[in-house]
Amino acid sequence: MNKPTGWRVGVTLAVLLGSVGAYWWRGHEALKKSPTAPPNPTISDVLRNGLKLGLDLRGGIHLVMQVKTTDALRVEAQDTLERLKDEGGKRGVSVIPAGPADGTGFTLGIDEKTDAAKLKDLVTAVLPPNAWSIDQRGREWKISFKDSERITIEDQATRQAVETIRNRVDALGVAEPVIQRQGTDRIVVEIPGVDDPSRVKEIIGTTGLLELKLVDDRGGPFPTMEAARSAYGGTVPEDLEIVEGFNEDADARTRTPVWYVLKRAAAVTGRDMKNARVDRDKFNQPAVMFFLNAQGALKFGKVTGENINKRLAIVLDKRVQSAPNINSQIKESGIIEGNFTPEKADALSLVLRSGALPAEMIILEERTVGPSLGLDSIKKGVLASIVGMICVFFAMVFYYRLSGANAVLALVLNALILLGAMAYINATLTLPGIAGFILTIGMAVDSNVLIFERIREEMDNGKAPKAAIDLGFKRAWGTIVDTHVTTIMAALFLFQFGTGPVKGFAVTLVIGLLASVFTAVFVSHLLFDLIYGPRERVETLSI
Amino acid sequence: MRLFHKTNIDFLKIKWIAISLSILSIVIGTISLIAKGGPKLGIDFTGGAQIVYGFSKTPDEDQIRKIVEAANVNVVSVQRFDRPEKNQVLLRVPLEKKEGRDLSKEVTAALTKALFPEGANATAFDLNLNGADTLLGKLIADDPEKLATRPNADPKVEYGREVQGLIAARSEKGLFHSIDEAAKTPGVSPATGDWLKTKTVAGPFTLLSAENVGPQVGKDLREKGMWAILFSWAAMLLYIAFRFRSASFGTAAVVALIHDTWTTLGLCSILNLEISLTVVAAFLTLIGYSVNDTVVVFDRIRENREKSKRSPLPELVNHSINQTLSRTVLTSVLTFVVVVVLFFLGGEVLRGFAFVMIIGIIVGTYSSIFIAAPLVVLWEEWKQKRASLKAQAKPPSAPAGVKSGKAAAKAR
Repeated sequence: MNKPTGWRVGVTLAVLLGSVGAYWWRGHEALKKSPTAPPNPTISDVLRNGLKLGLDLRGGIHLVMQVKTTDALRVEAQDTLERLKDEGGKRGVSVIPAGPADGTGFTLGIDEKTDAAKLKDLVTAVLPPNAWSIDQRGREWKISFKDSERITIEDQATRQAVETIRNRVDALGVAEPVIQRQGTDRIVVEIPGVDDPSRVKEIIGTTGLLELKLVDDRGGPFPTMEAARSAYGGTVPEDLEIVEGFNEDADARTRTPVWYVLKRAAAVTGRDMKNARVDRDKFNQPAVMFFLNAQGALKFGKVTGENINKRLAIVLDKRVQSAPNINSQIKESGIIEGNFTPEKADALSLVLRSGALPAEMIILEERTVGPSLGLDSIKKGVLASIVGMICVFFAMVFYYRLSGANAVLALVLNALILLGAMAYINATLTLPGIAGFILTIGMAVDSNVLIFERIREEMDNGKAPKAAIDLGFKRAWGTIVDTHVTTIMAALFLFQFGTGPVKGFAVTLVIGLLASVFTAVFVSHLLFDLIYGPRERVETLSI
Repeated sequence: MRLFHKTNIDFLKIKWIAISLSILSIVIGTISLIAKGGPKLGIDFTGGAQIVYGFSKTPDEDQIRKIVEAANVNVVSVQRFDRPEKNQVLLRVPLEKKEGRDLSKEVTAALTKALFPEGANATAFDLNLNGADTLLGKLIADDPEKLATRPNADPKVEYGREVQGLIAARSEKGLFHSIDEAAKTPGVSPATGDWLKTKTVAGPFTLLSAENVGPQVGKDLREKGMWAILFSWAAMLLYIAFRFRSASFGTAAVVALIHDTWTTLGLCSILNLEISLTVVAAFLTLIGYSVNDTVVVFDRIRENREKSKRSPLPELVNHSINQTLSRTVLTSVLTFVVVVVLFFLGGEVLRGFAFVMIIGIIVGTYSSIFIAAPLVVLWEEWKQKRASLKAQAKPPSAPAGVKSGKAAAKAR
């Protein structure tokens, strides 16, 4: 039997103080960062803020989105084709696409008049050979992305999408959002405390691609797509496209879809935008005013100057919002009308300010938890934890008497270390995490049971109480290591596998079990030493 | 107080009964699994949507189903959720072929249109369906307290506090039953209260949670979950093999482990329990727990074998089980109590988790005593028999004799 040495008491107290201190510190830190913190936080305010709550407890929205990278590839192919045409125009080489550009590249048509050698020169001059491969097949030249280039573009698109989404979420002004790239084309967005999922989805998921395109002279609007097509004799020419829009009646109550025929190439796009804000249109309805940068203003001025009395379509995410007449040259600003509610106009201006997403986003997974369900889960979790702990404590004291009380102290310390450690590493507490907490209490008691049963056995074998205590701890040690390693190993696989809430469970379980090695072996032993150590003779143990 | 003090129960005597019982339960579970085409997977793995609404009055499930189906959304089931007095309804929607349909928005819009026509109006602002941000924006725009005219007031802070209070009150109550109830929230100024009464409405339901998992994510999670379980089995096998340096112990522990997982999975299938992410978490915890329980018995067998090399193995194993019986039972009971508490008090989301743990603890405790330990004995006896048979077959051959002698010594 050891004397209860000072250093062991010191270590235990230091761990206890460290855990409580870490929790206290984190609570203060969290309050400092919180925009809604009361000016003079009470003790309970600090305690409630020590642990970061997961979305399932706090309420919030979790989205997994996929960037439709083929969109970005198609845009890149389209741009390249335009460049090729421009350059061809300068050199007097006609470039005739054999179809629209797509995600793999584009195809050039070759006919009798084509000077193949000149075209070849042009293509090799404009297109970097490390990015494009040219497949000359008789009357068609298939020009496609090389794999390395495709991967670069996809990567760029995803990165740009992450940046854009980050800007948009930041503009929402919520605390601690998570925006993470996952794999090649997925993005995980977690916004805690948000209770407006549809607004969030709208702001994050809207591509926000603004294009200003000239309406063709005969361009409609047409009541149906077929009508638009037949006005051009069945198919619209290559440089035009049919885009859906809507017509509003006088009081802007009902909308009927209409179709416009627009020039495929945009006069100005959202890339040339400087700013956007909510404004009012001529009917005093909310609208969004946009401002172009110098380059955009130059282009816009040229187009509007050359096309006075023609119509200009304002196309947002491939839908015509409005197609006003160009009355005079416009340079740097325009207005987007569209029967917006104030909230919608606000969201749109935010989206335009943060820039367009490089491609369309698809929501692969959505989990929204409302604040009231989260609150309910916390209440239930806390109740279950308290009842579970009381059951275990009562059973231990009932079965092992004073030694049971010793185990209870160790368990309480275990719980405190667990909370302190989670606060310190800023781990997230989730609903399954609460289950992990309860389970830890149940499993941590196993170490104490192993030791106490061993002590009893040693006493049955005729060992003196003090020796039995030491032997019990010593002999149970190997088994305690085994039981912890197996459970922690399983929890690590769980961590690897899990998404948010389940990860929280794994974290809680691992920290709790590590803490239980310390409390059950080191602290419990110390407590025995403190009780029985100073006595000269110990006849019986209360076990 | 001491239970199971110096017991001397012959656990090995009923080993064949126990093994038959286990095989039977595994067969029944497997039949159920095959008949039902595998375990019943939740939307985490199959994809699909689950939406929970809270209503102010007792909801009519049939009516809700009709409304939603009329809005062109397929419905698997509409059922009550949580305690009946909470008036909550869980809607399940099957997997959409195409990714990205915003089902919660569509269903909410359909329900609003049918149950609360005035809320479907474009200008109506439903306090129960809108969140803090939108409410704050609207308040700042309308400015009922005329804060803009006051020099020192920041509308964002002033209204922000009121909005916080309103949303907290709504979370506490579940939803506002009337606008008057909302206007009476402590901290809401009379001017804002009047504004609430004229400019907002309190609809008959609120969206509590919405989960929508697309086919890709479902497939990913399914694969990840399966690999996690298989890898953890393998890891346990390696650990036990390393720790006990014996094939018999390692194999017996893993057989017990697979037995526990499979029996529990079979029971889940028989009882139609849905496998969600948290249930898989329970399975992985169960894997750790099952080995943990087995290892305690094995540790003792190893220890006793070193102490008394002469005793026959069956006696040794039986003695070890008896020695650790009190610990096994006490720990199992305490952990069991804890998960039972979780089952009854932890709420709907954790119920599946707690259930799997309850079954797992029972099966895991049983298998450590009645399956794992007897398997070690059977394995070692079989090895010994084979060795002695070999020795009999070729008595003069020296190398075989040496080898079998070693094996026999090992078996002891």
